[in-house]
Amino acid sequence: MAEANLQIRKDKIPGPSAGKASVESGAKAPRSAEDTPDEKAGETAQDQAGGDGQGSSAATLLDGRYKINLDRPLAWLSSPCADAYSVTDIKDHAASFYALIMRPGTTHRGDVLDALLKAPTTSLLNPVRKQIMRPVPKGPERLVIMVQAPTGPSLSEVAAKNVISGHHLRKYVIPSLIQALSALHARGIPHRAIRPDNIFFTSSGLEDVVLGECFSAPPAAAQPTHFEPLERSSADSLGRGEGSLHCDLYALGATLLSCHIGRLPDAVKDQDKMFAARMGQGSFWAHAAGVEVPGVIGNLLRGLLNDDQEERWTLKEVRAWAESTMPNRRSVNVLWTFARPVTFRRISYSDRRLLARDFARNPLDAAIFLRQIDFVSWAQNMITTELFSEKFEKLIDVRREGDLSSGRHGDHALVARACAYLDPMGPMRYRGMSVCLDGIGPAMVDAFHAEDETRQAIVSHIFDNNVLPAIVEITLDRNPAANALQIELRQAVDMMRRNKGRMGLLCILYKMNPSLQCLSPRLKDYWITSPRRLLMVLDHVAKNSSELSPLLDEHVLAYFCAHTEQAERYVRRLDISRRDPVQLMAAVADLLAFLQSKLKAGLLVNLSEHLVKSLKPLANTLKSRTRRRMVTERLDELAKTGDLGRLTAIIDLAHLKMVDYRGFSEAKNKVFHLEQAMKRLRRGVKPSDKGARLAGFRAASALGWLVVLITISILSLQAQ
Amino acid sequence: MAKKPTSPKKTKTGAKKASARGAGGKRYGGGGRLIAYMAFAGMLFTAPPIAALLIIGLLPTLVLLLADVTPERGIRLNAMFAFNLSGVLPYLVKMWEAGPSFVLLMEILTDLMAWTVMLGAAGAGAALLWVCPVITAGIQHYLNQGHAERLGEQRTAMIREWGEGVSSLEERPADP
Repeated sequence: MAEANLQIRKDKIPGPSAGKASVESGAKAPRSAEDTPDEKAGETAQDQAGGDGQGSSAATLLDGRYKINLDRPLAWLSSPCADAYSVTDIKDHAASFYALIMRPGTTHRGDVLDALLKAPTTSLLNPVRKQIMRPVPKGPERLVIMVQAPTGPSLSEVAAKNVISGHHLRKYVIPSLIQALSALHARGIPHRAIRPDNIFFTSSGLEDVVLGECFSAPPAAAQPTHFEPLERSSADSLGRGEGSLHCDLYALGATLLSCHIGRLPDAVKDQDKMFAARMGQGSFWAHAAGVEVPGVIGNLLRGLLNDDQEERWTLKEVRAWAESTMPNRRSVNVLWTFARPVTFRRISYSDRRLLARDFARNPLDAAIFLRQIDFVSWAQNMITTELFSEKFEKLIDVRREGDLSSGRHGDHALVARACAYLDPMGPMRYRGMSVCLDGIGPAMVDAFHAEDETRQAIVSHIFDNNVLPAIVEITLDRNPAANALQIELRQAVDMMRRNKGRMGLLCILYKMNPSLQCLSPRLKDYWITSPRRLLMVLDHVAKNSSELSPLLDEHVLAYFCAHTEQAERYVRRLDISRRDPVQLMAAVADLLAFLQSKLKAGLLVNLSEHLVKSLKPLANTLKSRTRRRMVTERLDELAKTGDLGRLTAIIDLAHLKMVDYRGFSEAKNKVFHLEQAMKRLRRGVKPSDKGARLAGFRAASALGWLVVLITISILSLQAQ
Repeated sequence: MAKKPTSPKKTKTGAKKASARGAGGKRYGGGGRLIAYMAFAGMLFTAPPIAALLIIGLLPTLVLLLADVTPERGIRLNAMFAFNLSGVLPYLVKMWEAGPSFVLLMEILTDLMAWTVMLGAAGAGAALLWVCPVITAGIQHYLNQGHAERLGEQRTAMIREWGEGVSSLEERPADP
């Protein structure tokens, strides 16, 4: 039955009774995962998978009852980061779910997923269970999310056949969407995936609708570009950021309009032209493409598609509209136009945002342009709607002398700063990357997932070469996202500066993507989303690994740095000790002991044995035989305990090594003196030696006086 | 205040003084020698025959006194004087008991036995001064061997504890 519900999409004939029952049964679905944290889920999966990576046929059964049909993918429900498959509930055939299996190396909205697992909302396809498991026996671990299955066609399917009338929208669709968005927005969660193919009717009667899932990919990852508000639409698809609740309302307007006039997202082929049209005429007219939308529905769509975030209708106003109370129309703000058109590359621009976009597309030409003009006067003359302060002059720092470096980093950074000034609400644009400040994390994941070293280097420059701090400063007063994220971004920049190079980049990657699994190549078969689980997996993997050091690669260390307070100083110590094996092993032992204690990971017998195995050869380099024997015996005793804290407290190898070295030096000195004395003593004593001569003469003298005494005695006796 | 530089004359005197000291640094003579000289001078006036016997009988010691320039001159002189004196003493007592007279002095000096006793005692002293260092060298060598063995045992124990690397006669351990 559950499978049948999902097959409806293929047949395009939704079954009304089945659909309704499905969503309702979804609400009643077992909520055993409600209080299941990620790591607990992971441990459960570990147990299920046999703990040693050995899968079993039961591994494809989630919770012992939901069979994931890997041979039945549901492509239309997949997201950029997860593949959807049909699910069979072997105990309750009435329930209808589908499974989202996360792809490795991708991230998702973990906070939203956990929030919805804990408390599902109405009119939304809620997650009902998440678990880390091995979907394929003996295959790698994946995060699997069970989601309520849609029970009717999507808006896009229906609109593709017949446009949805304003009456239908107002009577059935909009109230359900208001309900869903009210519930989400009340909890501060923007949906960020509102589009026609992610809104489903609950039945073939085409009445109520539910919003599709919004947690399996970064915010707005699958949104059509023109369904994003102007300020975010020129960002890369994975770098659009979470944005605000206003973004949902814009997407809602775009969705309703496209369904109403039958101009679905696919109909827009040239996004550049669309963008220019939105700039020139406003998004409503660009979306409507000349189609008149009269009446109350027109008022709603104009309000929702207002390009000024402050002027855009809020959910409260939409609700008032639904109750036939007409909110006041507001005037369009013309804040972004130049006082006079600006010509760049023989094209005339009257909108600052459009010029910023083309600056970013031609950064080297833009740098020449910026250096040729007197930027301060130019900005004051062209942008009359706001004051060009000295602060901006210092921050943008346009200098006449060109950038002579081979990489032209200075030119690119200059253009990024100028773009941030011209379009402060827009994304950060640097060397071809275009990401919103709150979308840097997912954009980094994409760069690492694609193994795109060029983009990774660009991100590294953004954090390391003062590009990001300058952009945050420039946009701070005018971009709410920059204002909200400034502390987090500054911390990330500091982290990058503390941990130089790739290590710093990885630290930021994990810091800015809390839901991202550890991407260590050595642990690719595991789905690790908490430092505690990472430590436990390391303990597990150590059992079959010949060496310990390769397990602690950059990804693992960066993951600990990002997710465990104070781990960074241990990792830095480890990093500077790499040249000395003793110092390195001491640093490794200290790090693992700290993590074991901090994360309350229990006894780590395998890591302990591995550590002892690695420490033993180093202990054998101790010079003192007694100390060596004692340390080896203690190591053997401690290996089985799994208590790394005790191990490091008792066996401080670096200290022992130092004491041993001192002892050896003293012993060497002593032996040197002994050998010298022995050599002197064994050399033999000659009568001509000073000591022997003197002793001999003294003996002779003593004998002489003895003879004198005897003579005197004899003479005295004779006299008597 | 700057110290005055030591004059060469002073240095020479110092060297002379040093030569009057024994090898062990102990000074022989000094006040005792002054008393001996004064007694001898007194005797030269009160009992000239005895003084003459002493000069003649202690001739080997006087020769050593003038000829010996070794650092151990003092102790050697001491030994030689003791032996020489033990040879002269019987004749000195004889002259003292008979009353000092040149007749008796001549009698003693013409007695071959007297010469044999006095010079023989000095000869025995000289012989012992030659033999004793040989004997003491032998004894010292014997004692050193025992000491060296004990040090060798200590060294072996250290090598057993710290390994062969600890033993190196050539290189001194570097500071940590």
